[in-house]
Amino acid sequence: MINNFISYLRNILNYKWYRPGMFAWIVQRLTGLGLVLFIAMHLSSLRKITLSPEAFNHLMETYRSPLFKLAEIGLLAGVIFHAFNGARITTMDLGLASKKQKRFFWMFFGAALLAFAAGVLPIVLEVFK
Amino acid sequence: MTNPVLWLVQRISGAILAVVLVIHIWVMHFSTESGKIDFNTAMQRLSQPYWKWLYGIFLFFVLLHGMAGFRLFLFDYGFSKKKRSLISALIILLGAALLYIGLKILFFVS
Repeated sequence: MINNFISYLRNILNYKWYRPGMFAWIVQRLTGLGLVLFIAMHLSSLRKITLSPEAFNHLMETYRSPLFKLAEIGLLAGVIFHAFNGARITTMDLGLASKKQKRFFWMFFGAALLAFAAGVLPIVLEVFK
Repeated sequence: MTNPVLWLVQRISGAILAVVLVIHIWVMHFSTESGKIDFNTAMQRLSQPYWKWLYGIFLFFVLLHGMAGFRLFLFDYGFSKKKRSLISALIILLGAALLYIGLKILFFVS
């Protein structure tokens, strides 16, 4: 069973994982999985608000520690890639730009980078206050 | 393996989330005066009914999109029909559990 899984992973990585289409396919699933895990963690830790004010405030304090800020930047990157790639997939599902897929990918990737820069700026500025 | 309704749900919930998520990040990060959220701010928000209901709906769409996507991600491996049914059932359970936790957080005040 493990061998099947390893050969499954090998098959995926064998096919041009560095090219836009395959790369987007892989990273969409990785970020999606990461986001599902994040949601589970986010909900289970926010439950602390039902316990006591101290527990919740302590949680908010840990959210401001450097490690969490770094993780937050990673989260932002993951969400932005997943969202923009999803938009790209949906436009292609609707039959638009099917002849210009690679160009489309780079358009969306560029827009995603802009959005990421816009989002990460406040976080970084907050650190250097 | 997948079905057309779920495909549509995935796209529509994704589009909704793209908008609502921006609002969520804005509210959580940029709209508090001191920039710090603490117990009091959170409780203040939770005491407003519209907040609870909006976030409940938001959570519902998040879980729809996430669980459907998670299911597709697992199905890419290529499981047999029986295993796929089992996986679908487990994912529905996971979604229900997460929704329960989320709604409990939102509505525990009242």
